[in-house]
Amino acid sequence: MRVSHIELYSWKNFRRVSADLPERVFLVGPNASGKSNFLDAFRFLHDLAAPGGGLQRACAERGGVSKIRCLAARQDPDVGLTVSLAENSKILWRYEIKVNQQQRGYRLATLTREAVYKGNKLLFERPNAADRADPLRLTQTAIEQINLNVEFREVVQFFEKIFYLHLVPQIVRSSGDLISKGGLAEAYGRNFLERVAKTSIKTRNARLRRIRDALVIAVPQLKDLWLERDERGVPHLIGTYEHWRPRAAKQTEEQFSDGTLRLLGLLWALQEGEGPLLLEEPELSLHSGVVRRLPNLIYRTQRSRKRPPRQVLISTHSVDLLSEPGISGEEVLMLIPGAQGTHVKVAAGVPEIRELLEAGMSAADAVIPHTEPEHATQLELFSL
Amino acid sequence: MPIPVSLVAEGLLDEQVLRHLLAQSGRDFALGVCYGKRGRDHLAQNIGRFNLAAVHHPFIVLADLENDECPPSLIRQWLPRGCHSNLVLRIAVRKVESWMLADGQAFAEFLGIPTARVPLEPDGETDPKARLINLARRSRYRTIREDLVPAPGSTSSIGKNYVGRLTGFVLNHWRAERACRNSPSLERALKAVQTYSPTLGQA
Repeated sequence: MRVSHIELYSWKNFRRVSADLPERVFLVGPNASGKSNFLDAFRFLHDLAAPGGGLQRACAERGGVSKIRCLAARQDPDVGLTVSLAENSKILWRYEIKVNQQQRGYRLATLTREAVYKGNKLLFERPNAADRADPLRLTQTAIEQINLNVEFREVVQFFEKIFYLHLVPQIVRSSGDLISKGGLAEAYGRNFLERVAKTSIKTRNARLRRIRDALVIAVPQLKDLWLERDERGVPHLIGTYEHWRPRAAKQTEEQFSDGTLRLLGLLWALQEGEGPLLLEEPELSLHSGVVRRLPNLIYRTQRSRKRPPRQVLISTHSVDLLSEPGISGEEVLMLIPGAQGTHVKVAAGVPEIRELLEAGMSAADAVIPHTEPEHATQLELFSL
Repeated sequence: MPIPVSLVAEGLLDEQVLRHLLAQSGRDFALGVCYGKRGRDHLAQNIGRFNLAAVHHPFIVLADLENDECPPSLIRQWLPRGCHSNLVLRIAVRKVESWMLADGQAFAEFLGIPTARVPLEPDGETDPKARLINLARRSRYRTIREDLVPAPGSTSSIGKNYVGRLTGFVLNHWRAERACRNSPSLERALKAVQTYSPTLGQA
């Protein structure tokens, strides 16, 4: 299952946008156009459904409803989103949520609408009679309520599986001491090694073997890779590196380079889980020869029979990444900022770009010029 | 009604020259994005694709002749089946630097050198870029010399702020109609964009 369509209402940079989403999506746009905030809408759904999550926590972690609300929004004070979930091309579910903030008191986030459709059939919508009798009910979504979500548990579980990855090598190395729990800690790699360690031995070894096989291409000195717990029980990744001495040297993740760690985390995440995977600038710290091959690698992982295909949404600035000729114009979403908020355009929907792509040009060559900041030339004349 | 066109250039500096040429052409162009900017080989690889897309959308392309024989033969080599009427492909002889040198008066003032030192027929220069840098060596201004001239022993053929400094020149000093008196390839380019009338498809 994947998110096949999304609509955002007054969500951060976006006043009102909608987009169709294939199995692999590339988000491109200038700095601060809202690429991360687009991905954040998916994280929000995850935060609603995750254990210990829920509406209040999801909003509070984002600084409250007023911080989510689009600056370009006019009359409508509600923020919200609608997603359609589809298998192949058949839409199975639709979930709608709109939220406002209490006018006084604790200023809790309150639902102004929540609805679930199974196919085209409305399963339920809120506010309903019970909500009107007890408005406090509107501070919780049905998603976070086990006794309310029986009929659409599948949706809840799908949201829970959404995973955002923006691995920060320093955080992986510090085994989490740098950052407290919750929020984005997981995405930054706080529990990364713990997560690897918790996987069953058979699965873990199979995954690490595949990762090693891919990693040695990028890091030829690497010979082997496995997980080991130290005397305190803390898990460590161990790699053996070849050098001029007869026996290869052992190193732990603390000595791995930034690029090795980021690639490792990416390769692990691609094999893990089933829900949408949100990748924030996967090109960081990686050599362009590796970056260029990521789109293909992601595609092949999605096609692998070992697990159901995982939808992957990628935010990127990388010319190398978008140079891969197999990227289609339907997969590229362009985020174009303006006074009325950021607009989202499918690259294939812009005639000029479509014609260049059809003439055989890569997405990098046809799309990136359209996302260049209008006054980038000024940087040529600028000095500090 | 303004004519929407997209641009194609070899690099950042070429883009600025093309934009200013079009802005000073007296035509009402709505300039869109500039594609390419990844060197001449990259442009050569993609020129056929721009030509195909030109069926629906107007493109103006600027490229350097470099060491090729002459513009018509280069165009035949790049587009053996001919150039679509919506695609204007203009070739600077031999590099876009000769178009900058062609505004001799402005360029001499910019460098702080006598106008007589700037070549009168820059299109005849075999390496206008080297000529430009050699003129810059004689600039009265130390910062210009440092920006444009490569440091001794450097593997680069240009100084570290070559593009930035010359972008400033194009933006603030360069006049196309003055320059085209000294550069036939620029004059032809200016005429071509002045008479350009693309047929707008559904694009």
